[in-house]
Amino acid sequence: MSLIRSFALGAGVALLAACSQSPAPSGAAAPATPSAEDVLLGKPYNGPTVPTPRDADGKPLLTGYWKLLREPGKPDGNLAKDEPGLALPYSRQGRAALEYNLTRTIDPEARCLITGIPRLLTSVLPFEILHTKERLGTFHYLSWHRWVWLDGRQPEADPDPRYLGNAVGHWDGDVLVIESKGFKDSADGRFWLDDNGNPQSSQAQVVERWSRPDFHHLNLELTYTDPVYYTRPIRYTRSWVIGEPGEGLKEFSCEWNTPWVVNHLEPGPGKIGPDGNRGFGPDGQVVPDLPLGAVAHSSRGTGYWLYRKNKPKPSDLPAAP
Amino acid sequence: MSSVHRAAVTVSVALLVAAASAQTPPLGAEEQTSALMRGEAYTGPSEPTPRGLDGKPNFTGFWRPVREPGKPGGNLGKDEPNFILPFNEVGKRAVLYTQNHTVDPEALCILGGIPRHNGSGLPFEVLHTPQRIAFTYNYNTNRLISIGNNLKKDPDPVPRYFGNSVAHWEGDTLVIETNGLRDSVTDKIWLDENGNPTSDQTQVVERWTRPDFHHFTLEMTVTDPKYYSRPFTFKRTWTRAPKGLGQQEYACNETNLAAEHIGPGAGPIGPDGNRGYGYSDPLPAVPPGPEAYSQD
Repeated sequence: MSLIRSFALGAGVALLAACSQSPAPSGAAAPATPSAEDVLLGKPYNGPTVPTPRDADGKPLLTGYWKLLREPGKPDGNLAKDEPGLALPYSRQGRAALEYNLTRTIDPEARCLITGIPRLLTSVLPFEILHTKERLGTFHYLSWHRWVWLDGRQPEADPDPRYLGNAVGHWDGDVLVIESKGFKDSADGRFWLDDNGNPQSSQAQVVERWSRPDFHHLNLELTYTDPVYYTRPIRYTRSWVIGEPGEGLKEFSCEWNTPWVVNHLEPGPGKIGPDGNRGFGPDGQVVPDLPLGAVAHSSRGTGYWLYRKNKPKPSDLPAAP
Repeated sequence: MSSVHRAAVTVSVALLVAAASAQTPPLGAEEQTSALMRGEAYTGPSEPTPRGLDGKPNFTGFWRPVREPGKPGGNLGKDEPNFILPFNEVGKRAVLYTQNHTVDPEALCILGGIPRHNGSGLPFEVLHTPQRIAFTYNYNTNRLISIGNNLKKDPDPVPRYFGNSVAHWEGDTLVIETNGLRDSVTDKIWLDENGNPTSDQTQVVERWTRPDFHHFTLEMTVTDPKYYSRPFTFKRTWTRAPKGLGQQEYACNETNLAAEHIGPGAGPIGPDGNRGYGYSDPLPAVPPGPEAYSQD
């Protein structure tokens, strides 16, 4: 289990593939450990409806540990999930920027650069929200988090460019609307829109509409508007289910940014399948051996980017005791 | 702005010292950044402690450290004689190892961990709900802790930089107990900014209180029988930043192309207990040897 998790957390979609490809330990019967899917993915909730928790002002509280309700046939880590043909409406500049990402940019997540917005929200992995009256935080795998102001302020006129943008929220009835602008730009060579290496510009605006219709469910309707790289706004919707009582996000540190990865990993996300999912990342290279410590603990990522389908590791190691 | 931030994270203590002594000329960008990060003693009327839905003190807020005159920053030996921690014999060897053979984990953008962040000169923000509390730090790192009266520490935890923590209330004091930390001799973790060692046996007990709106206080006990001869305590106060200020994105990782070229250690620790050279002092022509860190 820890092996699977320690190398499967980089690109969201790779997780499930890794899980199904991992051989059972040879010899002795494997103990009945839950699969990565069981631990990390949400399962449909069919119990009685429990009302939405609310704060003293009567507004919904989004606090919780949220697991994705995966949509059959839809890709993860791909902002084109809800687009016809899984194709984003690139502008001419956008096509050039995509080409640059595919051929020149090492996946920023491989370098342990901050995973930005909206990419974080396309992840297949669980995340956690802590929601207070004037401030909300979303907490994600790889130890990233972002802050949102809910104190009634207006967005800054000229914010600093950030991976996570500059997020300000307000209520529209029972819907929390989070608007972000002031992003970095893929032209910098270290910022992607999603796992698939799509481009994002400094002119992008992200509007998230969050609702919690009952205790167990969290819904997102996201609109991505980027007049530089896309010809029209892109819509993206997702749903999550609350985690089990006592579950929460655990520390998982990003440590696979070794000098080899940072300097020599092939650019781009690797091949993207017809289903819109990428795989484990670029996989055509001969790679160095796994770094020391790569298999010791499930609480950090060390070897993921050195895993290759044609050079399987660390699944060639015996299972953890 | 971002380049200033980058400069500030390397040796935060040096930055604060530099800013404190730069009163006369107009504030440059570095000093302005520092002023935003630095807490000031609150002298206004006392306002009541805000309370959460559970009636307990609510720690949510952006907290900035108040420097104590004559005390070093980033040194968990702050309250010890001569600012030196009570190393045992193994610990004396461990500190030589960390200073001469390990790179400052924060220079590599590794999670700073506990107790190191409680000694940091940089502010942090807390998001506090009745069952869960988050501490968010500069470098865009965080820890999340569950609060409950019957939570048990994991007897066999996976080692982590922030350890494995559970919290409970004792009256109006939130007690956070942490075990399952990483070890400086095998992992990229230091006890504090000064490169002191911490072990896989370390246990940290933090007692946090918010006696009024503007103050957040910590009494921390660190017990590490592997490297230290007795438990030691560390006390500190933060003040609430003005309303509307909060933490912002603080990317650590943009220099990671240079990680392999960073030398080991915290640099010599001065008699004032601080690491670092500040911005104006020239670097020594010859880097200090192991004798600079000997605890004998």
